[in-house]
Amino acid sequence: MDNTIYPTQSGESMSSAPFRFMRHRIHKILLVCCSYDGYILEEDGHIEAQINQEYMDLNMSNPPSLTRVSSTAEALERLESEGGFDFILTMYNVGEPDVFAFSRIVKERYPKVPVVLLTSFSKDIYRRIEEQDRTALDYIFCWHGNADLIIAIIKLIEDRMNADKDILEGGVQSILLVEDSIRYYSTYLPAIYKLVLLQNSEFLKDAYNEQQQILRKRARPKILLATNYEDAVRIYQRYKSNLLGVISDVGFPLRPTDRSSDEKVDAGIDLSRLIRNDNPLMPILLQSSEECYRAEAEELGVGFIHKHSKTLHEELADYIGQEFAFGDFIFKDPVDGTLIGRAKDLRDMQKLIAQIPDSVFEYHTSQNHLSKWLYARGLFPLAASIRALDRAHFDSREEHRQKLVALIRDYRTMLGQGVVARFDPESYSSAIGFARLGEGSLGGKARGLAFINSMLQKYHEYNKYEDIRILIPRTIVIATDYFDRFIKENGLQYVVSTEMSDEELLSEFVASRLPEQLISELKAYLATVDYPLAVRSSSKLEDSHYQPFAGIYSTYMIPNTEDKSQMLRLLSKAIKSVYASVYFAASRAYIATSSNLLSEEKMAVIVQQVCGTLEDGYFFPTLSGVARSINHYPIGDERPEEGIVNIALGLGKMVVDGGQTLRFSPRYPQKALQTSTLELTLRDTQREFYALDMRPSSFHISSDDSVNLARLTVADHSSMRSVQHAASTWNMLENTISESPYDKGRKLITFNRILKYGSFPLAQIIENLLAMGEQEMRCPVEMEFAVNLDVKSGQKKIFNFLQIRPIISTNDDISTSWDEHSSDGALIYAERALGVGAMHGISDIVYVKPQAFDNLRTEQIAAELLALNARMREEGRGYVLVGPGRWGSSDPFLGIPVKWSHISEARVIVECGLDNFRVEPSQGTHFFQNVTSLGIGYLTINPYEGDGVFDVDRLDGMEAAEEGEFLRRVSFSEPLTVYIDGRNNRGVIKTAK
Amino acid sequence: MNVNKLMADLELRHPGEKEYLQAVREVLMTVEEVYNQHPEFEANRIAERIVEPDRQFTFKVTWVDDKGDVQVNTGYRVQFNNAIGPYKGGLRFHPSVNPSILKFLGFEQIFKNALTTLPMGGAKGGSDFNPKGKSNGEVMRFCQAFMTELWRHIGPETDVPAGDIGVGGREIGYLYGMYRKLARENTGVLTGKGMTYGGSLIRPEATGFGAVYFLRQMLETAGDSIKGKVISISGFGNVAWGVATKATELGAKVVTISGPDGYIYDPAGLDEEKIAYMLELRASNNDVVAPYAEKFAGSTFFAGRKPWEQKVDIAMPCATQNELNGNDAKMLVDNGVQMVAEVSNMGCTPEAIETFLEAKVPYGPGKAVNAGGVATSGLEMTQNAQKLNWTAAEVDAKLLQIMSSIHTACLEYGREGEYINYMKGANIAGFMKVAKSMVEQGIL
Repeated sequence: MDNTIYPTQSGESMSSAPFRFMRHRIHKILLVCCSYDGYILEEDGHIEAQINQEYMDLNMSNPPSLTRVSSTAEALERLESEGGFDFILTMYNVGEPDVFAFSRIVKERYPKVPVVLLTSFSKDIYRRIEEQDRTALDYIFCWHGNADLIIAIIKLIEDRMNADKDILEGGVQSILLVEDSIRYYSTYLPAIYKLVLLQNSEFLKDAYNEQQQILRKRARPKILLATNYEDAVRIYQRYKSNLLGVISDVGFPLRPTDRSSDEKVDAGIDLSRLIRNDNPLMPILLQSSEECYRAEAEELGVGFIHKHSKTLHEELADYIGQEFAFGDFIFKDPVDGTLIGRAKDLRDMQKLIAQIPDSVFEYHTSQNHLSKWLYARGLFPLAASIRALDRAHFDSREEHRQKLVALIRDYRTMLGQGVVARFDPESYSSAIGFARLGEGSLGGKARGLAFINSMLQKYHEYNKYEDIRILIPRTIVIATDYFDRFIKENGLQYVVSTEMSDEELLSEFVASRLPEQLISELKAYLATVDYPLAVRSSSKLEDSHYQPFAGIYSTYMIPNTEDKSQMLRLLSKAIKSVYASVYFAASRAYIATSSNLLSEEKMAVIVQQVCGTLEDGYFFPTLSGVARSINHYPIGDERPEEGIVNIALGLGKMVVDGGQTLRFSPRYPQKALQTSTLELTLRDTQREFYALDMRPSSFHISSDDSVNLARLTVADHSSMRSVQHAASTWNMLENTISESPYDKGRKLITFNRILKYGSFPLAQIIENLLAMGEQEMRCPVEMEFAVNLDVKSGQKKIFNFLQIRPIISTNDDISTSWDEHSSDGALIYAERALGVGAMHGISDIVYVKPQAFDNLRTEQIAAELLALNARMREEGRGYVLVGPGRWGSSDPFLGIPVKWSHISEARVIVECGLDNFRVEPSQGTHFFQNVTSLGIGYLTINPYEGDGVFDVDRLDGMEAAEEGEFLRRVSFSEPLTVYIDGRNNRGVIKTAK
Repeated sequence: MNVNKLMADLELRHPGEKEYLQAVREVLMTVEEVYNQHPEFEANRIAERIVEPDRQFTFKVTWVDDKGDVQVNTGYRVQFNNAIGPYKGGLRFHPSVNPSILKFLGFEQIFKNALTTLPMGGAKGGSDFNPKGKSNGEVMRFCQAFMTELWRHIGPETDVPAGDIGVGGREIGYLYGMYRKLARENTGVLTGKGMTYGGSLIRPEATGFGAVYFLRQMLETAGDSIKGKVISISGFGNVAWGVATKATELGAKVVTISGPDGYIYDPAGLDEEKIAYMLELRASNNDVVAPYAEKFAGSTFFAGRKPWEQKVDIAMPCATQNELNGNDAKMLVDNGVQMVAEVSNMGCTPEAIETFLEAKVPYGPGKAVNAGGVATSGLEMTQNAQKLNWTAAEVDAKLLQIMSSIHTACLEYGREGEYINYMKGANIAGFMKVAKSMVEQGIL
């Protein structure tokens, strides 16, 4: 079938096409999700606004409405009572019936309504999905907080509905995507749609009236998704005449009903051969995680991308840009292929057509390259006209050339993209609590923050207590588009695939310049600021459901200064440093471990008021803390669901880094273990705290984000006002604790006045907020907060809610029979264990040699571990890591101060006490959160006091695979049996039978 | 006395009480020789009588936790022997508490108390209640419930409990308050009380001060003086601080302190400023002494090593159990150490003690050297009985007197020709005092 369905004669003016594209559209969407997901879709993603905008652009009178319900049961009721829904989008955790049963019921009752499952990326959830009957689900997508995907899904469904009419009758082009991995097509699809739309929006600038914009949008290429060979061949055969190209996985199932585990490993090769035989010019791009298929792809003359390439998206964009006529138009010399010119839009195209040598013009027009490029952008009238006007229509080449220039000129226009800037430099004032700079995503952390803001309003928390304000700190968010602009304007894209030291990277970033518009907005912002600022990361992947990036990226703090230009310099440096932290070694390692792609990551930046007051040149809050609504290590009467809180005097770095904090149950604040007896209080309470050094000179560029944080001792600063709110006094003579900080004696940070004597309802506030968070997010949550009690008489005390994020619950773990996994003959056995069931393929144990351990040399141990871990990564070997103390502690005396990059390959982490080095679990820390969310086994044992087993003698008796001064690695010929029962908190590691 | 036969009988009657049985065996073995020199002991069956507690109470302690749930624990008081004075011994609140452990501790307490030369008998008590993780309110309700039963069995002239593991100033306060309410009297029924209701001064310093007084006696007995003596001490806590303070005050030169990270050697000796700095180190609670070397020029920090490698006149282990082993002892002896006064409980290993005894280096055992701590409890009782509060100087003077008496008692039973075996002296002195008083008071 000829693509040129609206041929125009030479000299005939182009008009809008009469063909009606996109007859079938989605009008009414039923969204089944919990409040948190709903909030993110609606508030951050502006999903409804984006859909409405698109519909308005298309001049359609009835944009789809989103009806949100919070459970499947409610959804079924709605479908029954209201009807008219033409698309159902459901999240995973939405009550009973589960999504699979729900989709079957829907299909029985409403067979034409597509049902799509949108789930967060979690190995655990995927495993469960694989086990279910998914036939009633039209598609399953993996979501990590990008609104693009939702738009892509709607487009995909609509493309499918309209494919026959628009492609076969309307001449719209299409792309076939063959991929069975939910994870990957969820990534590809928005990327491809984005490319398509990018071209469209670029070209919309050329459209000279609204009608043409609408037509181009309607006529953009369609994307057709096949998840198996049978469907792929069917789609290809049906639409091959209007296919721009094929993007295909190498391994996928042959039939729709096959399980992914039954895939044919080279089905994509078969498909490529079939298509090549049919049409040798059809662009095909194969993608695989197996490098070995590259050669076969080359042999077949098709493109190849390695799925784990750090620059996957860039390579994809390049390939389809060039081969599918998507990218810039490249004018080439037909003889030697030399680049003659590059057109990114119609304006360039018009200019270049007028300039290029005859031979180049002849080559591109004779091959219909120009019209193909225009078709790909939905410029049907122009494309059709140009294709119709071959050389034969003209007396001379110059006439031909002039005609084309004239045709293109008719299309050209310049339109600005309407940017709704929420931050208005003219009207911004200190009365505005939360503002947004730029138009991109807010990032995970800021999304959470925006969510909290709405939550506090909804539950009337702000004024709940007479003398307390519960609120988020005053905040602005620099959206991800500024990050993109910063990278692009400064040519920093290359860092994605370049190995550089953190310091080199940082200096490269800091030497670059922020976008001018951002600088002028920041100036307006700083004019209203008279307090220090925290500059925090809010990356796209960070803190979204099941994506724990907490503590991976940097948070810088800057002091406020009288000189606003000096403050702007400090703020700019801090923002650029946060940007740079995306590419730091620790972040790269973390992204790799968490199955994310560095190229997907984008950074928004939160700039917010630091909670606290100034004293003696230091700025800090009375306390900072992290609260979790689920307590994995309940002590005594505590129950897991009652939650757990860790607080520390001063800035939150002490809590986040796993330093000495006070742990208590919000249900029983008076029963904090550490302050329950004098001995424990003396031994286990905080002795140091972090405060912001307010001298501007203390902030300088460093990959260490705590460069200007001072670590102060309680002993030296016991007279500070905020310290006194937290302190009790040890009466050495009477062996008692006095609750007055004014008494003589050593000060102990007990928080007794707050927790035991109720001077501030901390536990009550936290308990309320945790309950509220759980209610809204429908899962356990973790929150960060800071409290400032050092306020002037008559002023309100401040409770700053800093962050909320969901926690993976291990409640669904299948409890194991310990008859099958007894501890007999165990190498390691723990009764304090976290993890998810059986772990396979681990054959190595790396342990800190007990006799070599020295708590004064933990930094050297960490360095040795870093090197060992790098070797394990190269070999692709996971391992069990055993060592004394708190892993991830920032205090080298508490344990080995590892960062994520030191232990990224560890699959099981064992904190093992020595008789002279007792271990309390690192629970509640961000490190711990990362460990558990990544499904890493986590055991705590103190074998010397009968708490668990570590058979070090047996390991010592084996030959070492490698051995250093502190570490020893033992390798087993058979993988170890590793089983962790999260529900009963037991874990065992044994040799295979 | 035939120790083996006696132990066999005891094991039949108290099967499974291994801590208690072991303690009895050790004491009887130590005193066997001198015991058999006294036919009146055997005639009065002192050994058989002394190993059995006078009485034991086991009682239910019912209290209500913060959630409103009823909790039940078991309370104990083992009144072992009151031949020389009212029963006296600590209360322990810990999940490991059981009758065997309390009998073991109570039995040892008889001789510890007797050694102080003060009129105090032996006892021990407590509960399997764990104050860890309990709120103040729960601890208070437990202590009150515990006392509602115990109060019938104690009194300033009957039985005077003190603190122990899990029973600190807070718990003593709650226990005393309930006793006062039930008995309707303010008497010295507990020791370790707060200063506002009958406590004594010099408690934190007593152990260290007392140790130096004992050492001074040891030196004087050898015809020497503490003045100018070079002393190495370990630890940097309350006890070490007390030792350093008093030793320096009396003219000695303390040249070492130590922590888990290593030790400091300061050849110039500690002075007032340096001793005050020990308290700062302690207050930092970082468990390190290394910063001392940074602060005071001329001193050296030896990481991961013990102070016993330095040449000194006198060594005083003040830190933890088994901190001075056979090798350390050999180094000290080779370096010509003149005396060793063990301040920590069981600070020297059996090999170390053996080395000192063989080399005829006078060795003061912990039970005698550190008796100042126990003695202060006696002094608190005395003040309560007199309805007086002594000044610090007065308490210090009495402490000196008590340590001198203890030394004398050790001399009485420890002389081996020219050499004084303080360990033997201390072991026997306490026992003999109680045994003799039992004989004199007849068969009871």
